[in-house]
Amino acid sequence: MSNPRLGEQLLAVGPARAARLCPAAHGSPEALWGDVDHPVLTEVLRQLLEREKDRDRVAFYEDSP
Amino acid sequence: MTHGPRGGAAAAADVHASAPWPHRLLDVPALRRAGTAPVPFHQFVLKLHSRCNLLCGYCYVYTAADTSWRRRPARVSETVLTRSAERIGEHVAAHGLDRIRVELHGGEPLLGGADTALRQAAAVRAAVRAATGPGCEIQVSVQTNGTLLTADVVRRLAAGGIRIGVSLDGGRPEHNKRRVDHAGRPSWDAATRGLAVLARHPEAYAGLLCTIDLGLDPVEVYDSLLEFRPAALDLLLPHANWASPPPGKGPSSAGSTPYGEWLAHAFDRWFDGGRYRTRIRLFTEIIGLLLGFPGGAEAVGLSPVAAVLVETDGVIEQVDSLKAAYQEAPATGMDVFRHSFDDVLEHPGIAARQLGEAALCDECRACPLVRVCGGGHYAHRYRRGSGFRNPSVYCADLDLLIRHIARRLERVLGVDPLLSG
Repeated sequence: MSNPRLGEQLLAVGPARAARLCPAAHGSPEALWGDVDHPVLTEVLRQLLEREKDRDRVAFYEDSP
Repeated sequence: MTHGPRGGAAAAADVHASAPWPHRLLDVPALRRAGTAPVPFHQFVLKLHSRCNLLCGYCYVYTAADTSWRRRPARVSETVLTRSAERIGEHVAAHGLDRIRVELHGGEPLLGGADTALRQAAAVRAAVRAATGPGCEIQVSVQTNGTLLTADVVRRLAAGGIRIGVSLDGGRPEHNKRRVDHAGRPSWDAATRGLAVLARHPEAYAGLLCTIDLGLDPVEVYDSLLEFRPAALDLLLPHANWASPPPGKGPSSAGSTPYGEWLAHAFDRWFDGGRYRTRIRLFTEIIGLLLGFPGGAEAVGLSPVAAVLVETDGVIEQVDSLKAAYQEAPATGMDVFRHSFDDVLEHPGIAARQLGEAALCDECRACPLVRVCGGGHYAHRYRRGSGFRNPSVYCADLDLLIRHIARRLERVLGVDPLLSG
């Protein structure tokens, strides 16, 4: 499994198989999830991409907001 | 007060006799010599009050195996409050951290009033600034049962930059029948009054935590919680393990999946809602992990856990959820007066939770879901006599839920199976 990278023309690669979704055509994050026709998944992907850009790779305590 | 735990590190080691993994079997110095570095703490759970005005039937602090709360001072003292803040500043400076989270906790943290929370937050901010300058962002939140949230308390916490999370098990009185005070009276009216006040301060409303009750309909629970307009929500598995199985499951029914099915129903309601209504942490994490993003929650995934807790007497512990395992299970034998947080990073219980796949049992490591499940919540892996190197007591439930979410994603994205096996 590898992580999504904006510069690698991949949104995501799954744990077992590559899942090429759509290219980061214009370097714009919107372009990455524009083809995902699902409002909940679209927002989740947007949040995951945002989080990946600016947070440390650690897990937080569950009993907290 | 005493400055330190009774008996010190040696006594703390004995309390972990029923958990040889990791407490006797994980050689942390050897791990360090081999090049595995600790991950600095990013989250500091600070107990402001060790008692609670509620006595919820499933509470892992007051109704589980550990009874250490009885000997703690009810309120955090100024000495502990200040020393904890200094230790955090020291840790931030030592590791050059640019963002940390501080969780003000209990018991019920607001039993000491908003003043204590504000003083603790201010002390941490001042200590970090003194140690490192202004470069570290400090996110402070308080996790409360909501019953003490008056307009004045919410206004002051919001003004002090403290976000507020509330525990609520559903949006109807009957969903919260386990959430009662010490006389058995329901907390619903007081909690929802508090939530109504909090809803007027969306900038301070961090979200809701809901512990799953199998007796309730997951769709009804989810729909009713939405009426409180939480920006974020988490659905928590009751803390349990192989020695103390969760309601509705037991060693003889380990393969049953009532929690997985409950969560799958809730997932479908959320995922098929037609529009995004709220973030559900567990579902967001599983989606992310299935698609290759790093995890950010201790419930699933293999990311190193970077949380540590300070009790009202200054004792440093692993997190409270371990209290469901055995007496003193969270103990490290260290305290803020004699030990730095760097010292605590060398404790086997802390180090084990930063090892990812290497901390898991053979069965988990061979599982095709391991990078998503991550062995589940560490506290749920405990088995008396072996410790924390077992599959989760919720293994079958997690398997069902993860496969369900994977299938839903595959259909929406039109991709090949995200999981093998």
